[in-house]
Amino acid sequence: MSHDAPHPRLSDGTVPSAPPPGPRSRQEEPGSSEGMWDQKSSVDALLRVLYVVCGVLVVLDLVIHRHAEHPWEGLFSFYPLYGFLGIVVLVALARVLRAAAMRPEDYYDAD
Amino acid sequence: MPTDVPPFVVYLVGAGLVALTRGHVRRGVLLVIPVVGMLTLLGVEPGTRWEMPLLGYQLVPFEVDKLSLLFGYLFNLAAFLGNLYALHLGEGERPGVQHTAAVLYAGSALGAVFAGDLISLFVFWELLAFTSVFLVWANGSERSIRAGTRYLVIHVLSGVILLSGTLLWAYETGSVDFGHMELGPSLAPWLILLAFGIKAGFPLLHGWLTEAYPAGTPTGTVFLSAFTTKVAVYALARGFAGTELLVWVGVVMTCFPIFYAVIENDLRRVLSYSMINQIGFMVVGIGLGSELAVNGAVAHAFADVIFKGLLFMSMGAVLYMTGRSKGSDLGGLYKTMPITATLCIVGAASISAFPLFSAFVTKSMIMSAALHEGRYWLWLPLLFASAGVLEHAGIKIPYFAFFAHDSGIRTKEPPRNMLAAMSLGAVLCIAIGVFPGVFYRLLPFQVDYHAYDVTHVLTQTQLLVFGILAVVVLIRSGFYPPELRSVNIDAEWVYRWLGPRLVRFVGDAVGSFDRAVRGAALAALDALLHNSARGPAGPSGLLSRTWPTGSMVLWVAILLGVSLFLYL
Repeated sequence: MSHDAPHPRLSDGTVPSAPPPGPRSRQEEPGSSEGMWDQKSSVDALLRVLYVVCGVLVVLDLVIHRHAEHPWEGLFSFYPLYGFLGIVVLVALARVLRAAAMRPEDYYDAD
Repeated sequence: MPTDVPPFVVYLVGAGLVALTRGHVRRGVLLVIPVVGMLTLLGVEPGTRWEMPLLGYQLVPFEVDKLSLLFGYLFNLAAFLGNLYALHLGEGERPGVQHTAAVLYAGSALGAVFAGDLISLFVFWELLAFTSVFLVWANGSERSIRAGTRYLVIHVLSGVILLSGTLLWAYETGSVDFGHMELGPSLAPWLILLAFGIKAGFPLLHGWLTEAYPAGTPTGTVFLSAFTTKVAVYALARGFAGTELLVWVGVVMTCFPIFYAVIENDLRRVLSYSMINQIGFMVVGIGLGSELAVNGAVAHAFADVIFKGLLFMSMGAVLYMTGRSKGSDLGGLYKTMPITATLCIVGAASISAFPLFSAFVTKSMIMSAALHEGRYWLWLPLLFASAGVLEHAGIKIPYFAFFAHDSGIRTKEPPRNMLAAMSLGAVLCIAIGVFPGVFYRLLPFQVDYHAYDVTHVLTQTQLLVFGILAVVVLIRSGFYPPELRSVNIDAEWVYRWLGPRLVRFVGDAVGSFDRAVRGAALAALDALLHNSARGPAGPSGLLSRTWPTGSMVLWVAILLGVSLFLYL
């Protein structure tokens, strides 16, 4: 995840920062304790499982005879493609929306 | 003489006890109220109807059919989960106000779904607003006070519109019975639909939802998410099933919020958008109007209260423990809140409609109904919105709160009552998903529908797993928009930004016009005075001159002389 995207600045020109944590928690240096998902090997293993499952699901599309009602439903790999492209289109359009609709956090309090 | 006790009465009495008691006794009362409420419903038969004449109209404050009964069970269940979740509230969190308001709010929702006429519905409709607003105000921040006040104004307005529609309807039909209504030339059903639409979060009328829910207390928002919008869904199902307009309103509701959910930073606001998206599916089902579709809408409302409640509970637990709810400020919490993270993932899987989780067996009824009716162009955006749910509620919520980058926050699991409520919600999500047959028997119509066949399981899994693959690819390539501390302008912009400026602009314009007119008038008056000073009436004019008294005597003598001459 990239974090170098420009932050919208507050009306006084400062970049907003996170509030201090509440009384029921404490702030430590990020990464001060390592968890399971900080290890690259765990993440890679999980992703490998995902890729294998994706492969199996496409193969199953060939093996299993699905009944279809929608004219496009019967096409090979319709659902995997629709799911994948649907998310890509969603995120791409959401970026356009962000460009148009994003304002600084104090937008409504500015005056 | 009926012996059944309407659940509203149980909650009203219960609220009094909650307000009067403290400590363990109050906690006991809070858990007993929904249990008693549920027990009263178990003994009630569909068809029960209380009538009460008032001013020539027949009021029906309590009417039971299969539809209202299902919502009755649901609201008692939601009240139990919510009360259990809020049980720990201590000094400084306004426990008296929050508990009492929550119980009255749940009671109002129960009153509304058993109201057999529009006047009774209106009364509970307004009570819903007046009781729930305290769950926003109790947060105490200026933002919450303002958001709560706007929420109250909008909901009271919805009530006023409902009352106007009701009076018009009563005038035209002579009855205030709450049954099916057709949209037509008469204004009355349109007004009633508008009132329902405000509460259901129809597009452009939804600003209150995405503003007030993230501003509520960690526990209060769990109640808010359960009742108001679901009462509206119930009312739509009862009054406007089969209304074609709702199909298209519903489609817009499923699709537009998912774009906002992708870029929204406040995770409770993401869930609020998600809520509009889910209600969209229900509204489509109601609009389609077939028995399968309405069953699907109602079943999905039931499942949604539980899985959305579970998600709001998990984010409420995060907010309660860390004081933060924004994606940009969170991350890495799985290290210190593993149980909460796991329960949140169960909620995420349920709303995404993975097989064996609740939405898989409820939302699919609506999708199937659309296909069975040959509504192919309707089905495609619904399928797109289903993938969108996976992205924002299924992945984004747990990922940014519990995983993503390590925020450095170290905390611990929330209080045990919170964990218990979330666990119960998670068990229900899975139970509905695994044993849909038991759940289907509660639905208003008898429909032969089987969620688990090879095609449905395979296609839904394909859709979701490849959706996950897409998110992974987008995040790893850096194309996925990062969480930024920001706000995104939406429908509330009209009354939060444009409205005040418009009022100020019009005020300024009227002010300067007023100043110009007054200035011109004063100048004209001044000129008049100035000119008149130089005329015969001026200080040195003919009429202002002083005359010696002798000349007056002379004139009097002349006048007398003339009159003597004329009369003699």
